[in-house]
Amino acid sequence: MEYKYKNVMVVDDNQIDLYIAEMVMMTTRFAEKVICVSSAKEALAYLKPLYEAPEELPKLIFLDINMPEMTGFDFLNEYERLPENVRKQCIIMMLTTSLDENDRKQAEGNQFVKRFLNKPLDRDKIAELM
Amino acid sequence: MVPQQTYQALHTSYLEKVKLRSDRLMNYFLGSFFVCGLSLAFFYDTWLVAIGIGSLSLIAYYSTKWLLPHSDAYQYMVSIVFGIFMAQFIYQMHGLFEMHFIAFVGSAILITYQNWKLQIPLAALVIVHHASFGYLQYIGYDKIYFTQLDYMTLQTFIIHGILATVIFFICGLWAYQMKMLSERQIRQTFEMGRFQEEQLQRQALLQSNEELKKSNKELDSFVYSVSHDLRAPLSSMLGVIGICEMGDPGPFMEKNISLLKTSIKKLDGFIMDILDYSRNARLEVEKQEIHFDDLVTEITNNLKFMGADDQRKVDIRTNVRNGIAFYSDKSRLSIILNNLISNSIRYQNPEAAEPFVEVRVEVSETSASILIRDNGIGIDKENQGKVFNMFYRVSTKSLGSGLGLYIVKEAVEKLNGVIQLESETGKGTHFNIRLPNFAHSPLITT
Amino acid sequence: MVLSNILVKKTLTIAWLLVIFSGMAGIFWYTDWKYSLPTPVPGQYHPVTTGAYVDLAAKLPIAGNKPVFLHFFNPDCPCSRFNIPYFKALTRKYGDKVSFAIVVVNNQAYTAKEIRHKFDLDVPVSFDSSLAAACGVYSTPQAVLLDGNHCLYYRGNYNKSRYCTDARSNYAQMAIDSLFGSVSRPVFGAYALRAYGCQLPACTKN
Repeated sequence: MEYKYKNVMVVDDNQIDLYIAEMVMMTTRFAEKVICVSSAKEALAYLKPLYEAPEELPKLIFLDINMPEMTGFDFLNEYERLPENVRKQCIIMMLTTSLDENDRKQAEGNQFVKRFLNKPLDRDKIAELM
Repeated sequence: MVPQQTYQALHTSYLEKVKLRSDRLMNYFLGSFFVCGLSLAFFYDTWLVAIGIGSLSLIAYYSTKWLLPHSDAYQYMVSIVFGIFMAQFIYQMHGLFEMHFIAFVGSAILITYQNWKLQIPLAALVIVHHASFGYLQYIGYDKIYFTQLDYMTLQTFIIHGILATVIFFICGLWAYQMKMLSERQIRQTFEMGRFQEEQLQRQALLQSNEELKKSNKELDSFVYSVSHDLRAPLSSMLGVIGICEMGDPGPFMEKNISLLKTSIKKLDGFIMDILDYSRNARLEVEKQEIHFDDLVTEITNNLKFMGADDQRKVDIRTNVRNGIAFYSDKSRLSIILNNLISNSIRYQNPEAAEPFVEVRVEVSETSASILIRDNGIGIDKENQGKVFNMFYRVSTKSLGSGLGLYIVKEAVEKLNGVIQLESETGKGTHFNIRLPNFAHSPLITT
Repeated sequence: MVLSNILVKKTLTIAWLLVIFSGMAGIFWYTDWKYSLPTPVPGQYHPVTTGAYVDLAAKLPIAGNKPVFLHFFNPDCPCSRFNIPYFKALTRKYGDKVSFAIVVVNNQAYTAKEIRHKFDLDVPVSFDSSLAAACGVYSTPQAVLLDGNHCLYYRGNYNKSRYCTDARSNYAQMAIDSLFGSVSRPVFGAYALRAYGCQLPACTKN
């Protein structure tokens, strides 16, 4: 019970950024289990079957915007179509290098997104979330 | 397009044409009048008059034309000469009154000069000649012989005078109308020319506008992408350093350092790609003789140490069929080959036994055919159309900046060439490039 | 510099043109004058006065007592050619009362047929140049009118104007008219009697 969250998911196409997120969360004991996926498709594939076992769903999803094939915003569109018990469970945080105002507005306008964070994820940012 | 002449220049050249044409016609008419005089001489043996007066008239005309070439005095001479010919023919035919019609013939001929004032000398001469000789004969002055008619009353004279004046007036009027028409024509031509010029200018402006819009749009997307792609490696590096700072990294130290190195290399690579893009877009195309062997060797030397450390070395096979000299831009060709070969290395198929990339070149008089074939992971059908787009990255496995193939395509187009792609996932990719040989032709830059 | 050049050229042109025009006037005047000069009287001229008898018998086959009108003609003489139409008009008008004949005085050989063709008339043609001396004719064209007795009635020019159109000076016609008594015999002045036209036999008036 030292961990804040049991399951947390990080969606990012950059291996290094996944590594960073995982390391930071582990070191700060933010999450017990960090699920790293390198594409939005993989994330959806992971989430869909879990509607039967909602307690296994990650409480937080850290989502990158700039990903090939399916961007963070594309994920959000698909996320809306997920079954309700799944949607209700997860809170989404945008984690991106983007400085674009339009991206920020679009993200914060989305009902599922709680925060818009800039990479890199570090101890201080995690502390804020705790 | 010939630059638009000034109105003055157009006006002058048009009038010159009218003058030259009329002068040429005059040569024929005056010649015919002279010959007429000679043929009339047969009737009454009036040879002295025919030859003497005829040739003096022609001498008067041509010498005026020669002495004062820039004035239109000689045109007035034509008018006078027609009057003299009329008098000459009347004389030669012993007062045959029908010869007066010669004056009207002359009056009509003068219309071609489009100057109504030319009618005046002829009209004056005819009226004075008619009046004075007619009167003298009428009063019985026996030294003068003018007409075969029995009488020349004042009434007859006035009627003749009025009719003659009417004809001269009408010919003058037509000359004037013709001139007005010419003026209108010149004006129209001028306006049309100016209008066309304006049209072209407008089109050029529209085109450059379009190009600017395109440039601006590219710039916007470029700046957006650049800001993202430059920051990504930097944020990764910061993240890794943050991890190191968080405490004793221990066993992860090596990994952290290697990750840092990867990020830095990626950043560097991206910056070099931007430089390539800029060079291709902005530098003038230079024509040099290309030695493909040396070029490919140079590139492969630079790329030898490329690739992730755990990647296998890729065999670079070259097959250059030379013989004919090939001229093109060396730096762009270098960029093209460099990008394609390094892509082949980067995207090698881990399942292939012997990863290779083959570079085959065939040179002809008109073009060079370059084939770059590898057995890498390939590009699937739905992405094949998009890989040449700016910042397009095929998949999560893409390690590049997304600029590489875009730069290749732009460079090929700059050299007036064409590039084709054939690929099958899992099997390999092959790029076919045809570039024109600038050996004999001047470069046409787009 | 250029301006004065133009002025010089203009003056030159005008002067030259004046020369030409005076030349033209000269030619006209000269030709006119030439034709109006009387023919020089030849050296051995033997004047034949009015009333003298002219013997035609051998030279021209003209019968009867009709008056005879002799037209002295030289085809090469322009003055002769001038009045061909007029002579035709005369023959038409007086042909029944007067016998017309043409006397050709010329060095060249012309046939009678050619002469008749020229006039488009069927009149006797003689080539006997002694007739000229007999009538006292020394130029062409000349009209000689002999009365019924073949005596010289009139010898002289056709007309004051060489185109024979001046009705007031139709001397030959007047002569014929007065012969038949329709008008009184006019006094013929120098214009009628002083012969002008071409010399015999060859015309030098060209």
